[in-house]
Amino acid sequence: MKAIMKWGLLSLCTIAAVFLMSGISKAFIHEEPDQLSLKMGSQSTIQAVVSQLPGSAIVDEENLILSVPYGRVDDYRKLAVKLPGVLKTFVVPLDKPEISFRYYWLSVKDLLHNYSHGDLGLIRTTSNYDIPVTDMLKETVARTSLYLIPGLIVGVLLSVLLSLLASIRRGIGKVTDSVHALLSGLPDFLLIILIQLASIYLTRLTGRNVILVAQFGDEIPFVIPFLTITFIPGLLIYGTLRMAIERELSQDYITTALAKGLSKRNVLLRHVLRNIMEDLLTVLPKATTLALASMAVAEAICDILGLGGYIVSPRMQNISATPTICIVLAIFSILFHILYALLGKLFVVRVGDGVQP
Amino acid sequence: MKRKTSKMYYFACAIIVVIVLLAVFGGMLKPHGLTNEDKINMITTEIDGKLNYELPPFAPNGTFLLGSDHRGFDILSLLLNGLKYTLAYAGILMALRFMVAVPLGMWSGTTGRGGVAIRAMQWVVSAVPAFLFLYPSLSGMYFGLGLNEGDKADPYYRMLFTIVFFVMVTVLGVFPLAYQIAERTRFYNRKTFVDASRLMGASPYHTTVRHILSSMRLELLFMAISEFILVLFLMGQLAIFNIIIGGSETLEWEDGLGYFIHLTTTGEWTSMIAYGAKFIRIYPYMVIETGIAFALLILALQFFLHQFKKQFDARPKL
Repeated sequence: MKAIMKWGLLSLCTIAAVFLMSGISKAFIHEEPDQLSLKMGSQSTIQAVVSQLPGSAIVDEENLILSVPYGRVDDYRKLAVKLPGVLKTFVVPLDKPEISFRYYWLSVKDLLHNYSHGDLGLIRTTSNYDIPVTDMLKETVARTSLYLIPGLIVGVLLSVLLSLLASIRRGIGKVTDSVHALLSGLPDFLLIILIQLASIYLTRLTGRNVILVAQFGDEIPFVIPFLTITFIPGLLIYGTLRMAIERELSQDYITTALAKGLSKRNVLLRHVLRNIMEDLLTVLPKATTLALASMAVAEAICDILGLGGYIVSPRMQNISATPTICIVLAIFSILFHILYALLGKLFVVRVGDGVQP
Repeated sequence: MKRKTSKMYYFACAIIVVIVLLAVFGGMLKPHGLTNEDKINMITTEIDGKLNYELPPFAPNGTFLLGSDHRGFDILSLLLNGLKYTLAYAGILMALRFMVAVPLGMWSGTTGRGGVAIRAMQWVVSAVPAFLFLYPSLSGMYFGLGLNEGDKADPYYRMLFTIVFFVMVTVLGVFPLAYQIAERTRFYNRKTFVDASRLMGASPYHTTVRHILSSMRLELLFMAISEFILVLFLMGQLAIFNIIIGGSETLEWEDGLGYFIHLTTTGEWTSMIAYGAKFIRIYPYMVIETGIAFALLILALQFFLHQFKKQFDARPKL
């Protein structure tokens, strides 16, 4: 229970940190946060407008500039434009951008208030209009899961199989180790670019669109993000397991098992595999974090509007749903960590003085 | 007995020497200049009596071995000039992380205090991908302070952004590193020679500096090289998300259309990646060449680390 409380608290801290960081753009202001200017007709005066807007005051009568409560310019603009004689309202631009932590905290409070009322922000669709994020969230999570989960599963299975195979057959081991050494220096973006280029040349050669390189409307690339998510964490897992298997193979119990007549394959499958489970479950959280980062890189390069794409796409700057999407991705990542912790409880063989029979 | 030095170790050292020499003298070795006078607006050639006009960027050819950018600057020259900046930024970030993590980890490992807090912070920053902390805040600051306007951006804000970038990337790396160092310090702290030193009246500071730190010298060196590689990976990833540090200038492409390109003034590699990634479908050679150079740098460092470990690693295991 204590452990659950501890991890729950840490998860909450992580989500809170992600939430606070994702809204930091609000700290940089380009307009006066407590002033607005008006364009008025002849049938009313600025004094009359001020008298009807509680909390406002005249700052510059000649240029029709009012002061309003801090951070409430948008609300007062909506109110002012409904008043008789007010034709239009404007924000008052600053000479240069300013940093305001007061405005940032105010926007954080507003966001929390909106969340408590079910408003999670707006998101921009491929047709370039804004809709509530709740309408798109399910679809976005499904889109990302389409390649994230299979990619991760294939990456884990492939790396476990290859590391076992490399230990059984020395020749295969030499080849896979060399490939691993070469690929582990390859940044994820270069891998994606190389796959994209390969697909472009394949398309030219065959005259058919073999691999989709970018999102076109509802057509979502699958192969590029899938391969990236498979390869990048797979390399890490393979390297870790190879070392773990080598360590286990040098243990005395392996010598005993081999001396008793068990084949190397049997030793690996019956004894070593069980004992390297802890190494696998230790590296999996890091591998998943890597997979999520590579997924975002793939979505950025392939223009896919998935969970990562919405965060990093330049088209999606200043959308109010950014903190929501960041939180969803953080929850995604934390859920994987919890899953690995549970698997650790189930499958890891614990030895030592503290272990209960 | 003295360990036999392998040829591969010498080879790895030679590669590192070449990288360092390229970083130091790259600016002098570059085949083309990178000043305003070296910019090319148009190349006019006469073929069969007909004038042929060519605008940059130029694809790789006899004059520009790796092609040119939109200003007509040779990409090979940019890469040679930019290597020192990339290495310097990664080096500074790695050094900053170490400056905080080593004292913090050693203090925690020796005194037994702060271990829970370091572990908790390590979990918080590693539980989610680093870009979730870095991208929204840095891009918010980048666009919020108008740094996307290139030359028009306030130099004070540009400096502020660079400082915040360094601080954030440092903070994100400090806790996992401090945790790792604390674990190793705890291991050495239990050793008999450390106990003996303590019993003879040595202060915790003396024990840490004279015994634990000196025992961990080699491990810290391995960690430093690994951290350097990790920082390079992170910088490359952030470049794809358009978060870069270092000077840049803005160029209006297709005059009058209002389409602006941000180009690096120094040739810093991650800035080159960010620039090249935008033209991946029109001029793929830009990002591929820089990406390959970047990957080769990482591979060289990994190879050196591997050989270095093989040569000197005799650390006691936990």
